[in-house]
Amino acid sequence: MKLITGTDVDDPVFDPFLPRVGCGICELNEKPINVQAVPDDNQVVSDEQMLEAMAKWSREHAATHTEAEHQDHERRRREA
Amino acid sequence: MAVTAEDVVTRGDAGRKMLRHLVKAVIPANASWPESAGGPVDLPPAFYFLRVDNRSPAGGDVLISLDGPVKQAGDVFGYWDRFNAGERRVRNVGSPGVDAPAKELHLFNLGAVQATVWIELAMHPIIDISSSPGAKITDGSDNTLDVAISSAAVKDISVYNVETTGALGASATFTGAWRDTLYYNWFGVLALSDVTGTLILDEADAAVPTVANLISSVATAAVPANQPSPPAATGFVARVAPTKTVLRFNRVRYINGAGAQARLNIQSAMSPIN
Repeated sequence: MKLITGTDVDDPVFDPFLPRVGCGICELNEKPINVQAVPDDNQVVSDEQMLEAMAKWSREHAATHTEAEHQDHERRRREA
Repeated sequence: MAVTAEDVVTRGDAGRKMLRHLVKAVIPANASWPESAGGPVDLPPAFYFLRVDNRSPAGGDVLISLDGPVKQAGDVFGYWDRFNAGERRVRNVGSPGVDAPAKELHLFNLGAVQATVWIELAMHPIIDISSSPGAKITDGSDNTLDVAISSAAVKDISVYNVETTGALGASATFTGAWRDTLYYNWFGVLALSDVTGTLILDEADAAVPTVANLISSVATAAVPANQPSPPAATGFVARVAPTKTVLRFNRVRYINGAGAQARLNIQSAMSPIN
């Protein structure tokens, strides 16, 4: 399995029939980033494994932002 | 940060949950799979249903065997089924509770070009009506016919999707797969988490859209006092009541709040009854 990295959720690098996970802060900063888990050639993976791989990326990526950034994102999300 | 296969795949783990499994088989010209891939592939221990999506170029037709490599390509008794290039079908391999499940999967590429085949394997039925080129009743202009039913019960064939159960990090976003609602009139979604977020429903005219639209955006609210469990009697919930589809494709999005999630469960439903 590998994670494909793209920009916005509709980046053509992604398979539209598979889910993806991104960062709301980067999107607000107009530097959108999303990742999509796909099986390597000839590898069998489950939906659960692909979802967890993307969720794990999101948890690690969240640490690259400051608490102030998270709170600002939270405020803007509530106002939207 | 790259996630390696070893991070998320435990090969040969007998305790692995029997959910849908996906494999992208790449088969050299006139070769057998998985033998051409260097040996056995880590298939689920058993399966009753499979969906084969042969994305190969013209000529990349494949044969499938469930009991060892395809023996003779020219002998219809030497393989189980044939999927021509561009063909997508769902098949069951036996009756759960009656027959033994399949435990092997072998492919043979009949073409002189490399074949690429996506295969889903599951213990439970795979419903894939919209992508099947199966037979339908149409008029001379290929419009589906109206059928008047006065006495027969009409069975609901709603499709229920688990969109995700992976707990997201703070401020993360989840975007689900586009769901083709060609044969469904209604689409609804439910999200449950332990922290706040926003649930969004999108629609588009195609899986690679020329037109897309936000149908609904709902912030989660604290679950009511009488909330049943599981997953928990406390936490946050957002629900978009089933809405009539206007554009053909629908998908779910979720924006997490400032707190990292300990749990997330998003499920959607597509229903044909109007």
